[in-house]
Amino acid sequence: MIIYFIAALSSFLSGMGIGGGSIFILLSILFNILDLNEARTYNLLLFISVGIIISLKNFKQINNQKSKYLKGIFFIGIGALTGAFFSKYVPEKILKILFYIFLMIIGLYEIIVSLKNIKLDKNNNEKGVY
Amino acid sequence: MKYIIFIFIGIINGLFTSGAGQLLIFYLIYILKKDTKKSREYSLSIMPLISIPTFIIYCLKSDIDIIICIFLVLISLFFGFLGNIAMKKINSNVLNLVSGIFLVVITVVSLWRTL
Repeated sequence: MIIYFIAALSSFLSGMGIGGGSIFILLSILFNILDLNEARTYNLLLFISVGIIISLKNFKQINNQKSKYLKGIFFIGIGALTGAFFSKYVPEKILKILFYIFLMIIGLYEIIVSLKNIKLDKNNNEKGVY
Repeated sequence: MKYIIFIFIGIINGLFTSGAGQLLIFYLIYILKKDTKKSREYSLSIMPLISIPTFIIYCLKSDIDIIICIFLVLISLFFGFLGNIAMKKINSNVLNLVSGIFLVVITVVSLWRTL
C-alpha cells in the first residue's frame, strides 16, 4: 500500500517538474519495498505517464512550437542512446559520485539564486507600497 | 552550442536514468534565462519520451507486477495532472527554491548510500 502513497507524492512532484522520480526510487528503496531495478522500472513508468498527461494538457503549446520540441527530442535522444551504449564501459561508481556532487552544486546554486530573487521581489514590493 | 548541451544531457540520461531532467531545467532557466514554468513543462514533455526505450529495456530485465503497473499509471496520471496545476499557481522563485532543496536533499542521501 505504501508504494501507492510514494507514487502519489512523486507523481505530484513530477507534475510540478521538481524531480519526483528520484524521490520514488529513494523512498521505495529506503522502505525496502522494491529493489533498485524494480524501483527504476516503476519510476520510469510513472515518469512516462506524467509526461503523457502533461503533454496532452499542453498539446496546443507543444503543437505551436513543434520544431523546438522535435529538436530537443532528437538531440537528447541521440545523447541518451550514446549514454546507454557506453554505460557498460564506464566506471559507474566514480561517475555517480561526481554526478551527485555536480547535482548538489546545481541545487545549492538554485537555492541561493531563488532566495536572492525572493528577497529582491520583497524589497521591490515594499518600495511599491511605501 | 545548445544542441551539444542537449546531447550531453541525453548522455547523462542514458548513463544514470535520473537527474538529466533537472540538468535540462537548470540549463534552460539559469543559462538560457528562459521562463521557469515553461522550462519545467518543456523538460516534462521531452524527457519521458526519451525514457520509453530505457523503460522497455528495464521491463525486460526486471520482474514487474502488471496490477501494480496499472495502479501506478492511474495514480501518476491523476497526481501528475494535479501537480502541474499546482505548479502554475506557485511563484517561480518559490518553485526554484523548493526544487533546489529537493535536489540537495536527494543528492546528499544518494551520495551517502553510494559511498
